[in-house]
Amino acid sequence: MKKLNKLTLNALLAALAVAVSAAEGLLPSMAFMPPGAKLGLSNIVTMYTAKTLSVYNALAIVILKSLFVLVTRGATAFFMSLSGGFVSTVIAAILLNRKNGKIGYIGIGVTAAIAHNTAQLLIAAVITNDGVFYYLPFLIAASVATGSATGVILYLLITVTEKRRSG
Amino acid sequence: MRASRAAIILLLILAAVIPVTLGGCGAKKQTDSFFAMGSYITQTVYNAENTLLESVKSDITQADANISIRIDNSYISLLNKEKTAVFDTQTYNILYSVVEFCGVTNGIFDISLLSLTDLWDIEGESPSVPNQDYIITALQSTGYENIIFGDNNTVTLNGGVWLDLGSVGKGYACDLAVEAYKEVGVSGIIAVGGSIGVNGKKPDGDNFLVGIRDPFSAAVSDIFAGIKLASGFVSTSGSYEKYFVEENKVYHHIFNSKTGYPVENELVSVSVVCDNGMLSDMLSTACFALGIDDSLSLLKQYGAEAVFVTNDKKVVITQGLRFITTVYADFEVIYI
Amino acid sequence: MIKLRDIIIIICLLGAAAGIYIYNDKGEGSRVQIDYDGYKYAEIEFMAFADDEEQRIHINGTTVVIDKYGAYFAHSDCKDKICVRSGKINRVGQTVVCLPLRVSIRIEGEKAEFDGITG
Repeated sequence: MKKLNKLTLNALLAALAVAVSAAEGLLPSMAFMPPGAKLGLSNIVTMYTAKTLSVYNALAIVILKSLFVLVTRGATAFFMSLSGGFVSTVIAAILLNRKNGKIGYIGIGVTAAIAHNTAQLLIAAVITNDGVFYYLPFLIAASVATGSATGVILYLLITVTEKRRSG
Repeated sequence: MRASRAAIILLLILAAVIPVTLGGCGAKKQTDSFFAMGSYITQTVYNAENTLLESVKSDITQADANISIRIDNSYISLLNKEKTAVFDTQTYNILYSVVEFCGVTNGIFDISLLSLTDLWDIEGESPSVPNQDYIITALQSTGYENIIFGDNNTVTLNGGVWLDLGSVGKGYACDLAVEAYKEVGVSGIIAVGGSIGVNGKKPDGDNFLVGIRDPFSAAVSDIFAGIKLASGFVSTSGSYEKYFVEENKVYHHIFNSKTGYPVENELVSVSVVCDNGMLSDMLSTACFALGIDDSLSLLKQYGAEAVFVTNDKKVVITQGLRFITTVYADFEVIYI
Repeated sequence: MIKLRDIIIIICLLGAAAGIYIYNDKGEGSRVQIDYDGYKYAEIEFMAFADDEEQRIHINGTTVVIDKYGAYFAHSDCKDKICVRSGKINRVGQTVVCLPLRVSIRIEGEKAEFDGITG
């Protein structure tokens, strides 16, 4: 991929990540979930970036996205977004770029979601108290659901764009 | 390669399944309640045959029919009326052990005080402190040494004494139940009034938790301490259970067998933990009458433990209960 | 897209979640602890409340209401109002948090369930 193309692609993905994040932010939070926990759909973008470009590009997008959150939703949301995004992106990057893919996209999506939500739970525990660990079971269940969805969408995205690039 | 893979998969599935099953799903719990031994009785058993609860209920009802003074033709009622009676072997042996215990406590625990307790009539409609002369007369018809055991299961009463096994019946019922649970290897717990008997553990692997009622609280559901019982029996005696008040003084139902008046010492309740139900029942009454210091050697003799509560809200716990008893409320706790 | 390992991971996670949930349920609580900024702000025993007794506490823009049956956020100045929408809690360990305002309420004090009562 040519340098200019890469730059354009990065910019596009960054904008997309922010847009999705903003849209997600409008959704009401569920009860029984740690407050501020969102679906993590914007992670699809960062994971896609990690696979098609590089993990560093993906992390840059995570930082950008979090700064946007800082401006719109405040400090606590910023830390939540940063921690969740950072951890899940790194893990996703490792899993996605392995040669022998023993884990399918759904598995990757779920793992990234668990990592994302657990990191957020830890931040919440630091800010308030240990009590938030009560949410752990719900969080695991939710991560399985959202992670699977994320994984499926990621799979479709990658398959379609690979085809277009080669075809 | 394939075998180890399969093993890993199996382990992972087990890891997922075990936490769920440990929650105790699948254990069959049965409960039954009925009246006997002058008390409300509740049994709870796990994974037992359907016939167990009924069989224990019938054993206890039969034992009640043998010893209750409320039942006209029980062995004890007959003995009280005729002053001599022939018992069945089981009841004869029970009475013998009880009287033996009376001897060990030198009459501090005495089941022949019915003349005295009838005079006081604590549970009557309008109890009042009896005339001292009447008390002295009543005392003359008491004394466990008047109970004579003869051949062929014959028991005779001298001195015009009257017997009441009320302070033994609850523990006895617990013994019957726990014995039955043990025989079929079933975990269960029985409550006969305030006497508790336990066998085995709960399905989730935890020991049964027995709460001790707060003697200072009017609310029946206020618990001040809990004992995690791995097995055994608990019984409690207290001045707050049955009493009346006259001229600002409290008269309760546990009597000093020498003076004829309710026992007066530092205690408001004693709970005794022991490996025999009848013993826990008798010991709780005896220890209440003896007070803390004099109870200790008696408890040691029977390998029993106790939780004492004093008038000034101190809780004294014997060493054996130290790690399995939790005191919840604001009491000062002393271990001895 | 989905492989055997994925399914195993999911089963294990769900099993662990169920296990943790069941294992951690310690029954109805007897008091609520209110924390503000990570520090204990108040501790209220609600078990002994009368049937219609209610206590309202205002901290940092939130209103916590406690009655005989539990505690909840009746109002909050925060934007999302997740805390308010979380409803009432009453089992030991349950926690509701208002993250922006840094207030949390948590149920404590197992009212242990007794298998038998003596005395």
